[in-house]
Amino acid sequence: MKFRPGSLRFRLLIGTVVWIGLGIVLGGILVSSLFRWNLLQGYHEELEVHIEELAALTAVDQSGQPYMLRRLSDPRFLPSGSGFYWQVSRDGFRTVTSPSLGENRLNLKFARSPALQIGWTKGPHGSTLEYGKQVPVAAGPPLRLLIASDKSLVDATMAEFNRALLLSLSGFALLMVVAGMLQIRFGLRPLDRLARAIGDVRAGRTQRMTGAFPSEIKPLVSDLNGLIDASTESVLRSRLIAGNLAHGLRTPLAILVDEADCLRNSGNIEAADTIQQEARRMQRQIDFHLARARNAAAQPLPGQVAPLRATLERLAEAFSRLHQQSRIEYRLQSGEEVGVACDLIDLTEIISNLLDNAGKWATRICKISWKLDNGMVTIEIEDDGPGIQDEVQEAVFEVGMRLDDLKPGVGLGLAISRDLARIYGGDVQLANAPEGGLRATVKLPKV
Amino acid sequence: MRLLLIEDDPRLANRLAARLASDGMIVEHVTSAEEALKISDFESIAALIVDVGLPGIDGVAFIRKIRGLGVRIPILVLSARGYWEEKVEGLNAGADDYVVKPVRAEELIARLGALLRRASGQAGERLSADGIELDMQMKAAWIDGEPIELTQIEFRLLQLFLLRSGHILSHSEILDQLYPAAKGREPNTVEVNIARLRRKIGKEAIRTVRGLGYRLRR
Repeated sequence: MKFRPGSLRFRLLIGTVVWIGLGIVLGGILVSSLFRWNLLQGYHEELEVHIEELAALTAVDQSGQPYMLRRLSDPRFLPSGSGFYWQVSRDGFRTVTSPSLGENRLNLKFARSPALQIGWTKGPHGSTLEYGKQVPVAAGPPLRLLIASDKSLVDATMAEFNRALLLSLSGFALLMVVAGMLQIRFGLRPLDRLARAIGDVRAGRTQRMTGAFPSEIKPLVSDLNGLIDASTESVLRSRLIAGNLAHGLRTPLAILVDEADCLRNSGNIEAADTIQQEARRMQRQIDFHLARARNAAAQPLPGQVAPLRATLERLAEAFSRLHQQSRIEYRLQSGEEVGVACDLIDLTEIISNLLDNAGKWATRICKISWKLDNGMVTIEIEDDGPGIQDEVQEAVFEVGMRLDDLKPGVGLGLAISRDLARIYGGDVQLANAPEGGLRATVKLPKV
Repeated sequence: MRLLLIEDDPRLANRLAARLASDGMIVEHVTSAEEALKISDFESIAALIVDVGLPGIDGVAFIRKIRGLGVRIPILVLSARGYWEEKVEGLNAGADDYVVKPVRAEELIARLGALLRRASGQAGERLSADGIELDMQMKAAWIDGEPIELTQIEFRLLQLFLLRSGHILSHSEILDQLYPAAKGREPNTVEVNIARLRRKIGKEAIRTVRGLGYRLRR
């Protein structure tokens, strides 16, 4: 099973990949945003606690200078540049800060009212999240309390989370694509079976499409089977009609011919000759049109296969019987059975006409052999008769052409054989054999 | 020669029967294979002419059936459709030759003659035994190269002996092959005709085998 561009599988796969990709990206963005919101929420809660603690630990001495009753409990405020800072300012007094802030100072814009204010601002190391509020003092300006945290801390956590998220989502996407491919494979498997069933019919391994198919494909299969049946039936019907027509015409014709004989015997020779001549013409017309009707009905149908060796054996047996008196030996090459993509009756017709011809001209032996090359079967029928002149090798295929009017037959046989063989994509050729005699070569497609 | 014609078209059958009869053959006609199968004694028939397109059991099936029963007499198939498949099927079922309609009576008679000759083991154009020669088509006979004059019934009798040369022909067998079932069956006809034939081909040519019949032997 291949995912070739232009195939149904490829289309389904592209669809699957696009949807999975889109879903994964959107999902990733959503999860990342939720995580960031959650992370910031954590910061808010923490910083709120810290600012409350700062307010509680800040005192003012007699000169009005703010000072810390003790250090804040969180050790992260200690190392310089840790990203966690606090600051207590009072206009006109020295500002007190966390050791982490060093000589830097926080922006006072969020500490302008007693209510807690939050916002992003520029801090000592890039963007900072600040909390600020004023705490009134009994006399003089209020205390301005600030707690801050570097944005880079949030970013680092987010980056770490996003990296892990990307990895896991990529893995997940890959799994989804593989699962999708498996599903496509499984879902489209009946189509493969359908293709195989059609292939079997085409190759002649089966006559009709068989096997269980899903309900969506069943109507297609039964339609195809119906089509195969209809074609086969129409060929059989045409053949039957042509045969019945011939049967219907030949019996009265036989009576006419006989009547002419009676006339001849009673001395009416001229009338007898006329009737017999016309009867012969009618017979030729019937044979000609019958052959045409047959050939028109003949068509390479799916599922046709004729066993060559068995057919040749059958024909060699029949012709040996037929030419018993002239003691012509039909010598058949032995070999493996091979299937020919041709209707059995048509194969019989093609070969029989040639065997009949060979039987009429052969002296003792008619050799039948076959070989395979390039998907074709080449059948050779060789007699030990007088052969044929090069100039007339093609002319004998013309309808009604007979080299020798003394031999029975109406001269349609070779033309019928060639026409039929060509319908199946093959051909019939005549040539002189190296040892003299005539060699008819039939080419037909192998199954 | 007694022949059985199985042909469903009565007009054609009657004509063929008449033509074959005028050639000295005795033709019995049935219109279906079923009717023909009722015949118990096929060996009393010299040859069968079978139309392929019969109603009911078709000609090919009929041939296969009687060959299966061990009937070995020559069979000629009359084919109307002219397809090889049909002829091949007929031949492989056990027929010995076929003709496609419309067939001229001459051709049919010639082919039947060839079949009968072959069935008697004679491959040549003429039947021959012990210096007697007979040409079935020319209706002529010779003894040691000298032509002899024979009446139709004598010719048929001689032909019968030559076709079964070496065999003993019983009284009833000769009667069956020379006369249609119904007519001409005088008990002494055979003796009378044998006596006439003996006068022309020599007294010793046909021997009487006491209690069994006659045999050709010069």
